[in-house]
Amino acid sequence: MDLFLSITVLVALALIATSRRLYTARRSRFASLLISGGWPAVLVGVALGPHGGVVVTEETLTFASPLVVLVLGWVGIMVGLQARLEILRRIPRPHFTLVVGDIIFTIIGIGSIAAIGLAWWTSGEVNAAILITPWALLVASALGWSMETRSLRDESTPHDQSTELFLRVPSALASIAAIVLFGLLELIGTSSNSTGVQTLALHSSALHLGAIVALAVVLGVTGRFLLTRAGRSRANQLTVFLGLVTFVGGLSTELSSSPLFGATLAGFVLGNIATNDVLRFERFVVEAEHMIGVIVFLLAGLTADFHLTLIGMTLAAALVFVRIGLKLTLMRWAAVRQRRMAHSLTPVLSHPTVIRQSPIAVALALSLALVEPSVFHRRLLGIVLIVGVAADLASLLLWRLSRRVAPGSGGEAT
Amino acid sequence: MSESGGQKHEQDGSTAQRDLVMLVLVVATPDSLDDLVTAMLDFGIGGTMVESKGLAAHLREEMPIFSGLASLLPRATGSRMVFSVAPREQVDQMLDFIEGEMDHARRPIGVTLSLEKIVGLQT
Repeated sequence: MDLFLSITVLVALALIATSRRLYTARRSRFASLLISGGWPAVLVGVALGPHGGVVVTEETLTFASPLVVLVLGWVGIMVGLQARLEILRRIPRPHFTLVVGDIIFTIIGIGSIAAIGLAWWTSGEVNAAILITPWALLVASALGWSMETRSLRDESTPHDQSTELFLRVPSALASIAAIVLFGLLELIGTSSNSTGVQTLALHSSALHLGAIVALAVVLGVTGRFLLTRAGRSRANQLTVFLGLVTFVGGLSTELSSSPLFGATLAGFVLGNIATNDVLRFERFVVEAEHMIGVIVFLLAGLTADFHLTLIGMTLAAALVFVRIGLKLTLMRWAAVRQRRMAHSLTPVLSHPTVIRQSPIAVALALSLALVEPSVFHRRLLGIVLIVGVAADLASLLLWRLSRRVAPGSGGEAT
Repeated sequence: MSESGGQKHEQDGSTAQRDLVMLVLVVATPDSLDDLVTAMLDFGIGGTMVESKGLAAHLREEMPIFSGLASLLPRATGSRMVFSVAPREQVDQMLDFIEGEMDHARRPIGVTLSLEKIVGLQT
């Protein structure tokens, strides 16, 4: 009966999703913001998952772990491939300054809230070393912001590409920083757990890190060779790529590290020793970005546990409010700095896209739930998703408020 | 005017009816461009080439999810469109070349359009 009900619900959702009325409604700014945030896929995942329609059970999710590894590895390599030195050298200094500022602000602001909230949530019954990984997740997921600016763009003003790049590039850099930060701290936290001694296990963490770096270098070099040998055949290149992604992701997981971290390192090595064949294939990798994004959000919806206590919900709310304050303060600080350099970024102050959570946060939380499956980590994933939705709605609200205050000049990307 | 194509004015003032059609090629794979250009020159077909961007590429640049630095990648979109007005027999040769000599994966999309009227076209 449950299966019948679930199928009925899915069919109903499909009919609604393909109806003309929804197609029209989808064009609204509210709907386009939510769709671009990936939330419909999360909703479908929740509806299908163990905490919803139970079409996909916990056991099935366990068997689907290799799919999760593949998807996260794909994301990691895609991010790492972009971190080519030739690209990084082209990025103006103010973008890097903004990222450094974001990291500092986030570690101080979000880090404080996360530490207090996690200690309160666990009632202080666990050693601080165990909370390193959850703390790292909450901090890393708060770095950066959504790179999609289209849904909050004001059509009445000209499209300013420079401002959009100033919003998009630092966020991309922050995503890389988030993956590295979380990867490193997760190694420390995981090693501390595995030794059974509730202290920081820096020595074993360093060994694991060395192994992952060596793995990334080997796979990067091997990947270059294999992709070159695969020639121009898309099918051959895809086969090689899938093998690399699964291998680096799977081995990273076995080393108790996030597959995102290992794959990003491998992508970084591959991108910086790339041949024309590899660069040509990169287009194909990036072309699949939206599809991979939908799968990440779907898997997150399937995996997340939203049975949060009052403390958990309070933590989520606190993270949202602190995030809003921090990001707006960061942008104001950046704008003040830029004025000194005669580069006006006044419009950026009124662009609330910086409040939106970066999609990489969902991927990081999913990877934690994969590497260390536990109810607590699934609830952390739930918190990350709640923060994401709330931040998206807050950004839309602020955008509308800014337009009322200054119609035609406020809240746009230009 | 010929019903099947446009008229072409010769330099001595007389008109010669030739069956001219417009050839439009959408070249999505940049590594097939050289072969196409060479073939067009071999068959005596001139044309105009413009850089273009596919819808998917536009969406990727406008709505990145994870790859925000892709917009800084130092290359063109890779897509080109070629517009040419040429005699039908030459265009047919070009299409035969595309179908017979080029790998399926590297073939451009090509369409021919009949023309009612042409002005400004010179030899």
